[in-house]
Parts: sequence; C-alpha cells; structure tokens
Amino acid sequence: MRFSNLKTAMFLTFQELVRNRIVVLLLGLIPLVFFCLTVLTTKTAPVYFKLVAIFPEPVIRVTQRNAGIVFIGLTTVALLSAFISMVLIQRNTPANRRLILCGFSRMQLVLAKLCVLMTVLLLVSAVFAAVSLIFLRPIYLFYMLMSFLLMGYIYGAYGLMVGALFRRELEGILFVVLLVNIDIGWLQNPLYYQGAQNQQIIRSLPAFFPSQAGMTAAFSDYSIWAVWLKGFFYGTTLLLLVVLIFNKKMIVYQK
Amino acid sequence: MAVSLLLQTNHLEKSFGAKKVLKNVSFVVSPGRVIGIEGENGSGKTTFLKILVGSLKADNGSCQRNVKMGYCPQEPELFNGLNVQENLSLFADAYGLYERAGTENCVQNLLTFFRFEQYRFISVAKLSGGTRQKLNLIIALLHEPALLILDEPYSAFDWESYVKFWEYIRSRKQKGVSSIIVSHLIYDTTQIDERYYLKDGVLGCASQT
Repeated sequence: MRFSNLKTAMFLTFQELVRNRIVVLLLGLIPLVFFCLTVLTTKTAPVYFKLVAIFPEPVIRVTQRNAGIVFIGLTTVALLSAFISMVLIQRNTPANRRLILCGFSRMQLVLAKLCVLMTVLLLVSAVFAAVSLIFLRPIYLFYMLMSFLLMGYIYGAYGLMVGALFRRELEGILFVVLLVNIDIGWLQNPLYYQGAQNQQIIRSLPAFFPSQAGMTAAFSDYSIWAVWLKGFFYGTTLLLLVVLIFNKKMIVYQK
Repeated sequence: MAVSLLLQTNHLEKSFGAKKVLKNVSFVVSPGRVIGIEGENGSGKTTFLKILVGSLKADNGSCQRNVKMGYCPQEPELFNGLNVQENLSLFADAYGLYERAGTENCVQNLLTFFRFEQYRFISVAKLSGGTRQKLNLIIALLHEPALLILDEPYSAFDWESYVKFWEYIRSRKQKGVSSIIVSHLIYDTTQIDERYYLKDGVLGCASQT
C-alpha cells in the first residue's frame, strides 16, 4: 500500500467536501437554528426519566428545555454525520472505480474516506458541544462531547452503508432521514422510551447507546464508558460491514 | 522485453439476464496497431471494453493482458468537485507516477499538446462537455500506456481537438503503442489498421490493412 496515495486521496477528498457549500452551510447554521428552536418551544418545567443503560437505572430530574437541547444536539449530529458520510461514498462512484482500475487499492480509497469522515465527525461534534454551551451547562462537557462523537461515529457508519448500497442520492437521503426520525427523533426520546413496549427493539437501534451516554453525561455524574464502548462496538461492526460492501462493489478483474 | 501480443481474449461471453451481449468473442492486439470497433448503440461495445480493462467480469472465456493499458471511458469519469490539476494529481498518484522522475514534464507535455493548460486550475464542474472529454482522455494517457482503450473518445470534440487526437494516436503508433477505438461510427477509416463490427454479440472483421 503506497502511503502517498492515501495522503493525496485524503487531502483531495477533504478538499472536495469543504468546497461543497451545502455541507459547510449545514454545519454552521443547523446547530444555531435547531438549538434556538428548542429553546423557543420548550418549557422549563421539570421532567423525570430513567437512564436505562446505566446500572441501577437511576431516575433523573431535568428541565424539559435542557433535555430538549441535548436531545436535539444528538439528533442533528446523527443527521449531519449520516448525510455527509453518504455524500462521501456515493458521489464520484464511477471516478472512484476508475481510480481503482488505474492502480489505487480499494483499501486505500476506503481508508481515505474513513479518515476524512473521522475529521468531519470531530468537527461536527465539537461545533455542537460548543454551541450547546450557550444554552446549557452539562455536568460533564467532555463526556457529552464524546457522546456526540459516538452518535456521529455510528450514524456516519450508517450513512456510509446507505451510500454504498444505493446508487442515487434521493433514495439515500430518504433512508437517512427515515431512520434518524424514527430512531432518535422518536424512539430514543427518554420520555417516549419509558412507556414503550418491546424496548428490546429500541435498544437494538443505532442511537440507543449514544443517546443514553449523552443524557447521562449532561445530567448525571455516572460514568458513561461502559455504554460508550458498547456503542463503539456497534459502530465498528457497521463500519466493517461497509468496508465489505464497498470492496465488493468496487471489485475489478484485472488478473 | 518486447511483447508480441499486447492483449488476447478467448471465447468471451457475457449476458445481462436473458440478453446475450457478447458471443464467443476472440480477439488479439499486436503492437503498433490502430483498431476500430464499430457497432450500433447498445450492440455491446462498451461492455466489451469494460471486460478488456477489467471493470466487468465475463461469464465465460478469458482475457490476457500483457501490458499497461490506458482506458478512456465513454462518459467522463472525473472528480467534479476538484479542479483539473487535482484530478491529474490523483490519477497520476494512482498510476504510481509521482515516484518516477519526469512525471511533471510528461503531464505538462500532454497539456500543451492538447492545448489544455489554461484549464489547469478550473473546477471540472465548470468545464464544457468537450473539455471534460479531453481531460477524460488525457487521464488515460498520463502513464504512457502500451495499449490505449478508448470508448467514443472524440464524440464531443471540436475539429481542432479531433485533429490533435489523431495526430497523437499516429505519434504513439510509431512508438509501438496500439489503440482500440470504439465508436458507433468511425468516419476517418484511413487512420485505422483493423476494423471490426460488433453486431448481435458477434465481433466480425470489417476490413484489414
């Protein structure tokens, strides 16, 4: 594997992404707009919910507004990460395939995309954690940042998978929005989750671990690491699946 | 070491569902030949070329590639978000060219020959159809391959670019480079050494010099 190939591919992939004005606009505008909307539409009345991924499932009391801010932060990090990673893998598929025919290895190409994705995730999570500070004082800011990062990691892997499976952007966007809406926007909301039946299904969805970790970090002094590691394992499994699909899709027959 | 056959296919077959696109296609390419393959739209020309370059797998038969090949696909396959120079860098890296001396000169010569220098720092998304096709072709030539496989390479070219294209093919031919040019219609048959016609999945010889 030539390192120079990886370096060039990483640099130019990042360059191409940064030149995409919609991505940059989304990154700058969405946190502010979404947080402001949450503040304007929520009350400061207390709500109670269980942290179900933390032993011994403690019940915490927070204001509706603070819960909303953390929750909307997690949701939008997921949405943005999935969208950006889908764009990363879906756009330029024929040109990527040509690169492989010309001598790039599939592994180099997928690694370049993953490295760019990780950089973007770090940026997205940091922006969201920083903007949320205008509205909220989390108990553990660093852990909350790590939870945002975990959400981005898992949904980034999901976005890559959607991008690898679907050829057209429209189908991809539909699948991204659909799952984000159902999973984080609805089922993982701790207020909904408490009264839900078949909670095992909800626990198996991608946003379960990061949303539990986020709520725990922002509103309690319990450790999030056990939950975080389970989420990391979940995301890594998705990512391995993506590598397999991408490798199969980009195979060439030059022997 | 000189290679007597640059490429050889034996009994290639390819189907998409019930439709047989290629039937028992055997074909050889010797050094210094310009080969034209004609055929109507949908006759399987692009499928055949994709099998030759390894982008598609044949259902049956074999394809033996003995030299470096340069492939120019029918639709420009480029990174639209990058500029011309960045596209060239990426593909030059893929060919492993930046580890060799003289690469920059080679790229520069191609850009000069095809009068492409003024586009060097322009985004590919902003190029016209013909200019994109020219870049598509230049990328296939970057690593000075011994065999060029060109799928409708000049359909969007202006007259000057078309003339330049044939001038380049002739100059490479003198150095022993072979070219396979696929088109639904080859106008300038005087440039072609071997002409084939692909019809109903069968590759037939049209004429030979």
